[in-house]
Amino acid sequence: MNGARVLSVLSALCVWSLSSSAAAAPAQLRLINLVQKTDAVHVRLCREADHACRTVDLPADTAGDTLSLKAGRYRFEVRVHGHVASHFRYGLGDGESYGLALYGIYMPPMHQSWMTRVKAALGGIDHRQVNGYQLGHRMVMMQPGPSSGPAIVRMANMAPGSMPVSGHFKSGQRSVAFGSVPYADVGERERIKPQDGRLGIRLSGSPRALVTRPLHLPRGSNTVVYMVSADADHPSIVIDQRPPRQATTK
Amino acid sequence: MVGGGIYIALGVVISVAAQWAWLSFIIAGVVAVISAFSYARLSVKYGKSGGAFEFLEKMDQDGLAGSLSWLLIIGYILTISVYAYAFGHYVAFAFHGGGLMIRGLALLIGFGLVGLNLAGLGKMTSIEVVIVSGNLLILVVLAVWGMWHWAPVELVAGIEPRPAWSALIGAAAIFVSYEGFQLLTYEYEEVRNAKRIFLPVLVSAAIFVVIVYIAVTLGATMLAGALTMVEQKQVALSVAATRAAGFPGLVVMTVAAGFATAAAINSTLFSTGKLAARVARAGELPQWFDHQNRFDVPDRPMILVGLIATVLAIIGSLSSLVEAASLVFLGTFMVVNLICWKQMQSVRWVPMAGVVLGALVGIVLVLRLMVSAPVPLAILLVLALLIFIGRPALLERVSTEGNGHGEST
Repeated sequence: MNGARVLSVLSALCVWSLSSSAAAAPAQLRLINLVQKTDAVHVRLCREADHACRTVDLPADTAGDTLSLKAGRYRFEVRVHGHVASHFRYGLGDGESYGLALYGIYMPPMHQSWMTRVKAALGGIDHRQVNGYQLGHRMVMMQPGPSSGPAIVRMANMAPGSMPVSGHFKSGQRSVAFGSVPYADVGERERIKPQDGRLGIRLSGSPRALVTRPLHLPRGSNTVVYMVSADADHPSIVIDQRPPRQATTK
Repeated sequence: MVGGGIYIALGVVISVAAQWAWLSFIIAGVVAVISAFSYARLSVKYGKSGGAFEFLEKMDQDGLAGSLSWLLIIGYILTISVYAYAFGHYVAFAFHGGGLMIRGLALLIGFGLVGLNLAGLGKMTSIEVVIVSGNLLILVVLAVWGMWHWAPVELVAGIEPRPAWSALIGAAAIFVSYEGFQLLTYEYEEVRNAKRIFLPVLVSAAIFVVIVYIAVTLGATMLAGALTMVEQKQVALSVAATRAAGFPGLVVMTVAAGFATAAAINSTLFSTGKLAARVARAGELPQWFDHQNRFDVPDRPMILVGLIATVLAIIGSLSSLVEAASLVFLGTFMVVNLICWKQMQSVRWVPMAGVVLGALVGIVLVLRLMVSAPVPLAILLVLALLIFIGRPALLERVSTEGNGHGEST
């Protein structure tokens, strides 16, 4: 009798884990194309519950428009030159804001060795560098704060072949440092109050900045600075910034 | 301390098992409950405080008892460092503190509690009861709050869903969150009517903790979303509480986390000091460790353990500390289950099930550490080898007292 009860509770938990809920508020998703060695990628995303699909074309080194999507589990298919380069699934929560970065090098044929699969299975979603510099994907939480709060800024290193990168944000006499970020990783959140300043990014340990540019950080905004190429001749970054939270969002 | 483990384990287990994190707590919980059963039965059989070391001594396995106790002390050091790390992060998060504040707080709690213990104030049962009760109440409220807004999609919000078997990997990674119950076996002789109540109390406490952890995993993740829990794994429960109740939620959870992790450090430090002194008296640790100050506190082991743990908390990362400690306790619990299987005449299948499941989880953990944290794994294995091979030689060279078992293996 007790065994049956335990089993029924476990079964209920299994059903809950497998099911999806109807969305109350849409999730906000922005796709960011940081993939190297290609001009554009095409992403098709389908909600598993109702098979509602959308296709997004993303030129190289760009952050796309923000998509409002019903919460649920989605299947993503990334195509380059008509070929499926990668496919994966993500859940999107009610009223949450996300950035999905596609990064790495597109170099067909895409291949995952047996050891790569084992490493990915054992390492969990924190274990990023299991597939060399091949095309990968990384979801980043982009929930903005209230307009009275400080801006949140993070730095991400999506530059294949680069050493860890670090950076700073200077505003007048004040300077906020971003810690060293290895490839395929996203650094710690820095809370920044000054709204205008200059961003500098360099290879960790190097005194010379690879990239400097002015950066406006509205109060409560959430910003991720993606390092796309750390090549000294052609360094490039892509910035994903979300405005402060509105009263109606989560 | 019961119920502190969830503060360190939640973000780690979600990053490994995603929507099956609750199942990870069940799998690890089954091993823990079986081990609680074995610990309790053996404590009642021998009628002595001392846990695994005492059981092996009673079986005349002095060398193995010594080696295992050394490993256990390493496990406790890792456990203290994990809780000091968690204390620093949870408290600093409330004050928007950076790395310096986190390290400073870890240092403060580590040395502060060593000082408190040295002053003879380490064991304050009534205060611990209040802390444990308050902590459990807050965790249960958070769990119920989260599950009230039932939203299963939040279990995979922002992360890739994982297959059900990843729950086994998750269980391996966070096993240390269940180590607390066995500290009670060091207090067996202090428990009134222990022969009658120790087994049901220990096993029911372990089951209760498993249920609380499952509920908190589901509730907190539904409040904050899986990706948030992973990105801010060091302070996952504070983030969930803030989502639930804003600033008051943050304050309440910070207080709960601060006290829970501090109490966990304190009880582990107190028990480790007593264990080290007991092992030294038996001649399985250098005599230097068997020294008590004017408050009858084993001061030297306490200072050494506190110092090493605090340094580890300052330089370590959450996942590697948690997983290295998990491996030590999995090994210890398997040994205890094996002893119970050999020593008991009835329901021997229970400890044997613990051995088999523990071995499975242990193998998975070793494989995972080989992939995700090879350096901590190598250090741990080298230390284990040194302990089992080099310990007798070391004990022959340094001064020991007691039964003079230093030469045995």
